[in-house]
Amino acid sequence: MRLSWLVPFTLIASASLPAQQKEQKVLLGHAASATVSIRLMAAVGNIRVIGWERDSVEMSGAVPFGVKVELFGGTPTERSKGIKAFADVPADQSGREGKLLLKVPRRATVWLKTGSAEVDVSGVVGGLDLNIVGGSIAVHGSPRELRAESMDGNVVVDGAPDWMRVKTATGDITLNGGQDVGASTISGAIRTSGGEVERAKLETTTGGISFSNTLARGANVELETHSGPIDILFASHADVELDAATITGAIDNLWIKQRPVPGREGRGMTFAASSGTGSARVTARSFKGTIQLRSQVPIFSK
Amino acid sequence: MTDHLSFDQLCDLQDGALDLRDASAARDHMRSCAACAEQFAELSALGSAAAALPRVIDPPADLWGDIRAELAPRQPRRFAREYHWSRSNLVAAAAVIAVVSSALTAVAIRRVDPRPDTVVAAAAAAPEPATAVAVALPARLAMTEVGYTKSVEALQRTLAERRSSLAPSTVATVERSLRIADSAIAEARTALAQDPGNKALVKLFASNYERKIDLLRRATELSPRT
Repeated sequence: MRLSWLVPFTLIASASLPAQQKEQKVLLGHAASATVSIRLMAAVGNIRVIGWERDSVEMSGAVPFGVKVELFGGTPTERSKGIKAFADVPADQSGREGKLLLKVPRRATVWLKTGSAEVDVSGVVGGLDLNIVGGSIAVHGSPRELRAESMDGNVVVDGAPDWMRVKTATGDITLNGGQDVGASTISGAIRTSGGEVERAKLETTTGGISFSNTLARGANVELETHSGPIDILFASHADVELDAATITGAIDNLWIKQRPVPGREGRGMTFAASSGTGSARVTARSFKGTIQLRSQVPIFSK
Repeated sequence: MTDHLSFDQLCDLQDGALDLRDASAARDHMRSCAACAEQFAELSALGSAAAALPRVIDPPADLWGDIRAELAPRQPRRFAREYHWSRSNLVAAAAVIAVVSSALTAVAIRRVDPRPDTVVAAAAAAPEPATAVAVALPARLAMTEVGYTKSVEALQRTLAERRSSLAPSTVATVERSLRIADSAIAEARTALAQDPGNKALVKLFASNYERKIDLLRRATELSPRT
């Protein structure tokens, strides 16, 4: 491959825009290795990351005038193993305007930090570390590792990362797939479904937890809340051993024909049961949230 | 060091995030490796460009007052005066202490709670969380809570210093979540005082604290103006 193709190209085409237009276009890029590590810190309203089948990184989009956009990838004639980029907003701007599209090699590792932004990632199979305050995070596909954190932004993952840790304060978390799953929130809701989970730890303070994944053989799942409701939907022939307890709440069993028993000193409830070979283990704990147990094919109804 | 420095190592070196030993090793490597030295120089140039952006961050007006308070020399301890006792006085005092402590131990053993955890007033042992009710916790839990409380206080101090740099909506979200966490901690704490042997409750209590600490940590790591 001719190295001239790999020479970084930079264009901030503000000069070609009418003076009254408030945006400047961005086009930055650099040759990169297939497993390049990219750090982007950008205060813009919308960031889209796409994994592509090329050995380069390209950042394009439009940002308000005054926003300084830079991308650094080291020696221009070499494929970079590390790229650092930022979009820095002047103090008099909100940092919630503008759009950036970041195209990266599929196996890249992307670290992204922004304020309130809609972040959408697709096609990346390397690692993702995404951090927002508000807005939202949506990940499509199955990165090897995914870490996503937000304050009040919602997080949706539509894919099956090998390893995934998601945290919010008030934002909802929706995970459709995943093998090793961790999700934690204060008052947001957690919903997980799809895929075959091997290990999961889902915890909230007041938010609800809804778990309806298929359990892998020997899976270990922990669901914990202070006051949110827990809803567990088991597959029709799940091989599972369940241990559920609530300190002052109730257990609503629509799963198998067995009754929960009163908890310590007559308060709350506990429920221990198994189905099939019981190879997977599910533990559910709440302080006062109701724990509901259901089956995809109801075995009995109350 | 034979391999090149990784991008993360260079970034961490430039950000001052490497410890002294690793930073020293990285600098040694760069003395003999032009490629790494060049990449580091370019990273530094990027950092300088970012630093040159028109941004002024004035320290809070009361910052110096806080620093001065921290630096103020501690008052001499009231009991620092030295006493020179004779050997016979020391022996007599030791004998008195032994007799008194034996008597107290005997009384305490007769009244001891059969549970392994001695109940203590956590209010005396731990700084009280803002919303917690002053109820007794088992000694082991009270000790654990002291650790949590220290972490919470340190993070809350950091957050208070950074509060003015965060967006008001973010501060509101964090404070609302902290109130929820505090309320849950207080509720679990009260229940624990009544049922200290409940392992599920102990775990819920600890998890509430850990989520609060994690929230505080994340809030302190937010970028300014977000």
